[in-house]
Amino acid sequence: MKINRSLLYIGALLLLGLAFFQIKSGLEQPSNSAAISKPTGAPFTLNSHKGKVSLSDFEGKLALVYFGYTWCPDICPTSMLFMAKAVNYLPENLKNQLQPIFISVDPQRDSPERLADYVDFFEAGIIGLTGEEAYLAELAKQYGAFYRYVEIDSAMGYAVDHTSDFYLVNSSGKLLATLPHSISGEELQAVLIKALENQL
Amino acid sequence: MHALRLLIALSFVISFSVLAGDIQVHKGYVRAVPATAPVTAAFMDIHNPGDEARALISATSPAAKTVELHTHTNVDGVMQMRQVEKIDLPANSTTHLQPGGLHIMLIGLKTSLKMDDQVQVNLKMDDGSLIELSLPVRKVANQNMKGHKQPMHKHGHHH
Repeated sequence: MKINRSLLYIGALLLLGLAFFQIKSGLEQPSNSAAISKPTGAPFTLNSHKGKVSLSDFEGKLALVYFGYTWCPDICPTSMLFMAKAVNYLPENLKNQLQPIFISVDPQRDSPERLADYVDFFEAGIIGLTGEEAYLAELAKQYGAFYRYVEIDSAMGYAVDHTSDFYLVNSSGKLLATLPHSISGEELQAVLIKALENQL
Repeated sequence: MHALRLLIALSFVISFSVLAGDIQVHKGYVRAVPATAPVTAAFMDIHNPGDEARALISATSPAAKTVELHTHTNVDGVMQMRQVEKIDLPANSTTHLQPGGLHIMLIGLKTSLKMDDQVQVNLKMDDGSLIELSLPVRKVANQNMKGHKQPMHKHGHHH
């Protein structure tokens, strides 16, 4: 009988401990999700074929930033053409107030030289930048961009799954707008013009 | 008797190959990409007017080291590209290979493709038949960008 009672105590203690643990972990959750706050953008310094380029180099301008990779046969070129058109059809007085930037998140395959050739093709003054993997990962997170390397059954070796949004930031890296992949040309242009006119 | 049997068998083969030839490809093009780009994609509409479902099982091109069939899916805004075993061509319908979806992926381009170049792409169908295509290289505009139309060419220029 004595043994039974102590077993009961131990059981009760265990249950209490478990309940306490659950309450504790439950309480921790809200603070965790608060840490994943809205993306704010961030300043950056990355490598171009001509050397380091910082967002702060474009003082007084806005930058339209896209994260992608050159082994992307479809989504990225489409987005770049879209970006090029949006920039090239801006009114003349606003065009030079906007710097389009393509950031490759695949530095293993995309050298700054390769990127330079890549962005030149789209004829919109886009600059191609890349950097260290860890730096890029942190930067993408601050912009709310997502990507991951995925081994796929293909001669490509690996693909990069990625979001395909445009980020409008000022030269201090403050995120002014996130423009989704599905945005229409008119909508993108309207947002750009509005942002650029307020800026001037 | 033997001759008759052979004739019947032969007529089957012939009618079958005629059916196979019914698959039609329209609006095909290869996406123009920067000279240093290692990959590009071919797009087209494949029409299967027959009553039987068909499939595109592979493709080749002298312009690339490897050619694969790929698809894109947009999973909560994340673009995922994957190789597919085949592209189904349902009966009496047109299957669109277009930007953002199904495409024929040319990997390891042997030469840089210039605008309006012709690229040979051969499609192998599930019945073993082959469709040989000569596709023009085109800069592809985003269809969202209304009011800024790309010049439309129905057929490639022949040089």
